[in-house]
Order: sequence, then structure tokens, then C-alpha cells
Amino acid sequence: MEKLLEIKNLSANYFAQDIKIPALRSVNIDLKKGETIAIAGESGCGKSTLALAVLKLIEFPEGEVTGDSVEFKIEKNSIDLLRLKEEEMRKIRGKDISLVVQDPYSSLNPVIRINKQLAEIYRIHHQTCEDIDIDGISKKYLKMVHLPEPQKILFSYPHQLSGGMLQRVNIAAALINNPDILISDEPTSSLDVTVQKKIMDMFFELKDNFNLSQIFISHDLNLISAFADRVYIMYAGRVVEEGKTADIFTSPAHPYTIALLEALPHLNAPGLDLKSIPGEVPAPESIGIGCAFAARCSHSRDICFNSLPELKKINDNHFTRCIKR
Amino acid sequence: MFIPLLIGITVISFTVMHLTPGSPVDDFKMNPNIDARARHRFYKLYGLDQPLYIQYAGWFGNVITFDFGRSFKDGRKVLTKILERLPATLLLNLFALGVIFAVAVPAGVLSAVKQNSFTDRFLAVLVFAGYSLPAFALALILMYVFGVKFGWLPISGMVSVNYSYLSFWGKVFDLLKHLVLPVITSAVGGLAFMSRYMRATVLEVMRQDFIKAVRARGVSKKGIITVHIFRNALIPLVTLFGLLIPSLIGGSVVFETIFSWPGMGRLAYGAIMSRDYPVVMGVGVIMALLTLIGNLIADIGYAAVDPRIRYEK
Repeated sequence: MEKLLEIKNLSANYFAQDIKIPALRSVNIDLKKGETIAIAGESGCGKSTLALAVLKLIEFPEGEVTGDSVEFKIEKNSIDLLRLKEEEMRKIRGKDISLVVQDPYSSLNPVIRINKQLAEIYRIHHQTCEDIDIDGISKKYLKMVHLPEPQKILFSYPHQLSGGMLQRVNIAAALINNPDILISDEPTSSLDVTVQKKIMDMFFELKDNFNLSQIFISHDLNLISAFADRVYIMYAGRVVEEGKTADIFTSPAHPYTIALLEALPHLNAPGLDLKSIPGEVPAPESIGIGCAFAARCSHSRDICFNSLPELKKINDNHFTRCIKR
Repeated sequence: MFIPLLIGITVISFTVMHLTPGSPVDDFKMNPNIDARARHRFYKLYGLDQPLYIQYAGWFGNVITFDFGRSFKDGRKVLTKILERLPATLLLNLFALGVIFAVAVPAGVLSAVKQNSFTDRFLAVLVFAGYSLPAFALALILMYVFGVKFGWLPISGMVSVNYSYLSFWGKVFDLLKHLVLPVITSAVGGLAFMSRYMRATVLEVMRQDFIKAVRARGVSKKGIITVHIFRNALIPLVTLFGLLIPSLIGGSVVFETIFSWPGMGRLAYGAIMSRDYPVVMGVGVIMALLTLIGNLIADIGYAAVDPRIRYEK
């Protein structure tokens, strides 16, 4: 299948006082047309930074995005997002590539009605005449994300809606310009479980009904196993393993992936103690040249601390960055 | 809230005024034709020999029927004296408020958007200079430079001597010319404060999470500043508006005296100096009322700009 997005050696740094904090280190990710990929990892591994970096939303003085290229195929043409000027990049955001951020409560302007905010997103990406029924279009999308009483919601302020409703509005906002790629950054993690289920059902529906390619960022491996075609496991700003969802879950190769899967609770084995990974994710600025996971890894040897393992091929789709293989 | 606050204000100002050394009859002490007995009769006539709370009760009883009494000095009704001075004070303060908002808001936004740039630093220096310069000193400098040295602007009064002979537009122009210096003087302090505050608010809104989400939808930087940040930055500004009014009105006493502006502030100054109690209290009540009305407007404005504190079905 044709590659829609090809991220090559993408890095992102944040600037704090006088130091650079490398949150994303030379990440390579491909997204094919119609495919859903998942980015998985613990908090602080650079998942959200990846989403922001692809859209070039990290800028001076906050930080910087560097790398070889981010090739994006748009109608036969291929453009490199990294080389785009801000104004051209702006036209891609929310139109060709949409982002649903993690916290629904802080993703909409609190003092503007929903209809105005949706209309703004539609209008900035379309040359519209005045008499177009933008509220009608917005309503169509609000219905699509299963919001009851779209008319009422359209004229509400964000504080009048619940977290689940807000996240649906955000998804509607992300879809309103029919994007090619939808990036969702932990879209359900700040919602309670029953609402999570409903939102995920909707994501499944979107996957089936739209010709949408999705980058799904999550730390919830159960969700990922049900939802994604391929999985990228990230650790401390690097991709440590990538592969088909089935391969990752049945024959994980990287010790980190193995540990993550072992830490999952099992419904059919109650009473077992939950395993956890000793230690915690190192702060990005304190990572040395070697494998960032070495300090927590039970298989680590001296060489792990001194040099970064190559990405090794297990099969055509399955790669890992570990010397064990 | 409104009424108890007003009563509290009057009780305090009434007490403070009577505790202040000196009395309305001090002026007569130098007059050899008025002896101690005459002064005492005067005292009794005004009821100043009564205990303070009786005096207050009497005064308050009259005030609720809108009778502020008569001036000790010229026997005219206090309310009449105030009402003929009020428009001048309101005019001056409304202009000052207008100038503060018209200058402070863009200046604050500009220095926030171009944070740490030359523009930002330049505005900061200008603003701090304005803020640290005492208003009376600034008034004197402005009067010297624009009034005396260049002779461009009148330095005192509200209208020129030939005002009544001017055409309508001539009158407006004359009035505006007289307004320039007093308005600048009274606006500078609030201006400095407001523009710094606006800068801080805009910076704070810029750091909020929703700004990133809005950018991710492709809204331009200009759109973010003019629509999204501005709307949110207005909220604390409205609260400040309520705080600004008392300081402006309090400042009127100083500015109006310096510029011989025929307003309520100057009336108050004269009344305080000659211990004209009814006038002092009358002006005090009106100023307190204006302040409270300002706060009320700010509260209403607050609901207008922030939907989160509005009641909606």
C-alpha cells in the first residue's frame, strides 16, 4: 500500500533555561493509506511530542523540531512538512492532518460558543461565501460523532458540556474538513471508563466509514491491540520496536515491550500479582549514548550502556532496537 | 451589598472628618469682630456641640431624603453645589478611562506578542517612567512644556474666557484643548498599570493548553491573538476596570486642584481646607456612589465577557 506519511529521523527538543531537553530522538514512522497505527509507551516517552512535532507546533522559544524529512503525500504530490513555511503548514493543520488532543477540557476556547469555534475551523480552510450554512455543516458532524441534541450543543459554551461530550466535539472539529490523517493523542485517557468505551466505539466506526488514516497515541495496550494495524513502541523519545499488532502482542522482541505486556492485568487469571517495571522513565536530558532502557532491563550488558543498538529486522514488518536479537 | 457598604463608608468618613483637628469656625478666630460667644453660638447653630453619633444620625436622616444640608460657607444647598460640578469631573474621568483603555490594551497586547523584543522593553521603560513619576510632578512638567514653553495648550480651567462667543464646534474644540493635559495626567498612572497587567494576562492566556489545540486546527497567529487570546484576556481587564474608577475619582481631587478644573474634586479640596463638613460629606457620598456604580458596571461587564459566570437556562 502507498505510504501517506513518512517520518524520517524526526527529533524534537524543548528549551528549558539553558539546556536542551531532547523529547523525541530520530524517530522513523510510516503511515500507509487507510491504515491505523498506534504509538504506545509510558508517560514521558515522547508520544505527545511526536504528535506536536509532526504538525510543527513546537517552536522557538518553547523548543524546536529537527530531522531529515516528513514526507506527506497529498494528491499525487509529495511535500516535506519539515521544509514548509509556517503559513503553508498552517493550511495543512486541521485540513489535511487533524489532531485530537488529550484533555478535552482544555482544547476549546472557554469563552466562545461551539458553533463559532467549529465555523472558524471550517472557514479558515475553505473559501466560503457568507450565505453558506456553516451551522448546518457543523450539525452534520456533531451528529456523526453521536452527540444528542446537536442544535443545543452548537449554541453551548464548552463549560456547559461534559468531558465525553467535549471530546466528541473535538473529534467533530478534527473531522469537519475531511482530513487525510487523524492524529489522536490519548483521546480517552481523561474520561471515565464507560465514556471511554463509547468514544472508542466511535473511533472504530470512523475507521470503517471514512477513508481515514489514523495515528493513535495511547498507553492503553488493550485498546491498541483491538484498534491498530501496526504498533510503534516508544521509550524515552525513541521507537524501540515496531511491527504488526499481532506480532507485537504474540511475539514481542524488545525487553521493554515484553515488560509492558507482562504488566497488563489478566482477566482470566485473577489473584495474580501485577508485574511492574522496576524504576521509571529516565529524564530526557539525563539519557546517555546507550540504550535508554538498559538501566531497567534484566538482560542488559555493558555494551547496552555504551552504544545504541541498531534497528534489527525480525520479519518484513517487525523491527526492534535491542542487541538480544 | 450596595446600601450597607455605603453606610459603612459614610460612618467612617464622618468620624474621620470630625476627628481631624480644626473646626468650621476656625476661620473666624482671626476676625476681631467675632468673639468667643459668637463662635459658640455658631457652633450650636450647626449642632457641632452634640455628640458625634447624634450628629451622624441627624445627617443620615436628612441624606436618605436626599437632603445633604447647606454649605457652612455660602449657605447654598450642597446637592446643588455638587451637581453643578459633577459633569466636569465625569467628563474628565470618562476621557481618562477612554485613553487608558485605548492605549493600554494595544500596548499590552503588543508587548506580550513581541515578548522581550525591543518594542516590549521600550514600552516597559516608558510605562515604568510614567508609573513612578508622581502625577503632580508630571502635571507641572506638562504645564511647563506644553503650556508655558510652547504655548500650545491652556494650563488651567475648563474653557477659555471667550467661550460663550464661540460657535458650537469652536466650543467643542476649546473644551477638548483644555482637556488634554488633565486627561493625560490622570490617565498616566492607570495606563502604566493597565498595560503591564494586560501584557501579563495575554502571556498567561498564550500559555493555556487550548491555544495549542486551536493552532493545531490551523488558526493563524493573527487569528489566535485577535480572537482567542483577546477574548480571554478581556476577563481580568473588566475586573480591573472596577478598581480603576475609585483611584481615578480619588485622583480627581489632586488633578482638578492643579489644573483649576471646576469639578467635584476641587470642590472637595476647598471644602476640606475650610472644614465645610456638609460639602465634604456630600462629595464623599457621591464619590462612594460613583465607585460603587463603577463596581456594579464591572460586575455586569464581567458576566458579559465570561460566559462561565453567566446564568443560562
